[in-house]
Amino acid sequence: MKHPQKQFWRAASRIYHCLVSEESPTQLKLPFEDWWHCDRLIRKRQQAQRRGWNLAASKLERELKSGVAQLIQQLETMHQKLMSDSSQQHISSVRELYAELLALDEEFGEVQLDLRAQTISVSTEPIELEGVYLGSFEICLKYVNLKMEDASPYRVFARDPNPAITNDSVTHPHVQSEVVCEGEGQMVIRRSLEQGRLFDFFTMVASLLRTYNPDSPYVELSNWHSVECTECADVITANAQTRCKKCEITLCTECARDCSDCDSPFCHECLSHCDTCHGGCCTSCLKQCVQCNADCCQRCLLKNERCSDCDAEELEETEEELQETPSSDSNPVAATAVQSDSLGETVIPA
Amino acid sequence: MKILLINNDGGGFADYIEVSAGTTVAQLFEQKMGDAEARDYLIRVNRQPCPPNQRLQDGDRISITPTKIEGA
Repeated sequence: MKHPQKQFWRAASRIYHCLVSEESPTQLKLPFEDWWHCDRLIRKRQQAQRRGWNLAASKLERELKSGVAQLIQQLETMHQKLMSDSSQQHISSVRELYAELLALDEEFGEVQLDLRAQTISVSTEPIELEGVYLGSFEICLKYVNLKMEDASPYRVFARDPNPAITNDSVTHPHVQSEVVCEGEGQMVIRRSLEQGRLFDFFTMVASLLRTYNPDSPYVELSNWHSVECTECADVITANAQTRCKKCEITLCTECARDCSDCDSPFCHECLSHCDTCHGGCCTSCLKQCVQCNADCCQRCLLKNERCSDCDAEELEETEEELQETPSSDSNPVAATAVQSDSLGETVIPA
Repeated sequence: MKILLINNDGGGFADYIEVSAGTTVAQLFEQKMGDAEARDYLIRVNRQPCPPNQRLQDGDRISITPTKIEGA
């Protein structure tokens, strides 16, 4: 054990005082907020179904399932509370808190105590879920507000971060920005903290980190190393992705369009078009025709820096000019033109 | 005899209960958890893992925690 017993006793004493000062008379409160949340989801789901928005409807159904489960859990907890013989909930004593810290030290190998910052931390072993290596996590509890009234009193830090490619803040399917989405564990975790059952709290959070719920993760493990095409939202493997050379957004091979001149990939927005052949061409490769200012790709811009249209037009004009300019050599018929009948004759009276 | 039972399944609840002397961990589990499978839970007595046939003592603290807790 790295920490001297004295430090554990001091920490236990401080945690106990925090718990006691936070203790308030047992209050029963019906879970109206969760009830209304479910009610809103039901109405939204019905609306989505009526409009034929099947994807949105199935997403809302998933949320509703989770919401109803939470509602049932809250009612069950209240029922248990009412059925319990004791009117006051059990709160760990200093001796029990000390025993909790000792047990934690044994379970996790080491407990990090920071009495100044009022935190207790333990680390999990490296975690791998469904073949995806996520690394070790540090669970850090700030024991000042164990009632969880304002915000979560604990954070989960990835010690060897391997976040989802699509979202750097998601270091675990159920952890975003160091906050755990507890799902079905919410009530039980909250209760363990309220009662100062530190050992239960840390082992349950660690257990949650070792479990994958495929129904509602922040990022699915099957997509952990995948990215989303910014244009079509299709999920693609990281090695099959390409990026727009100009704006650098992620694209799938279907959405990436190559410049006909430099062959670099571009997104729909960044790829321009040749005014002559209408082929895709990037703005760096396009050049203006000196005559009509049309944007042209290299193939459509001729050596005289004119587009093929302007070049053809110029040729036509030259030909017309040549036709309109007469010359003796070119029109020999004019010299020997046959004159019409009676030309130059006059009538003489008899 | 009186023991502290901590049931971390569902809402999570801790309470002192009366059990008859000689009750084993497996018997208490069956009484309190019904048809639930013991292998899906981590059962500890006084914060230590225990065998199913361990007899409970007065003042023991027994916790029943699901091995899998699903986040969202």
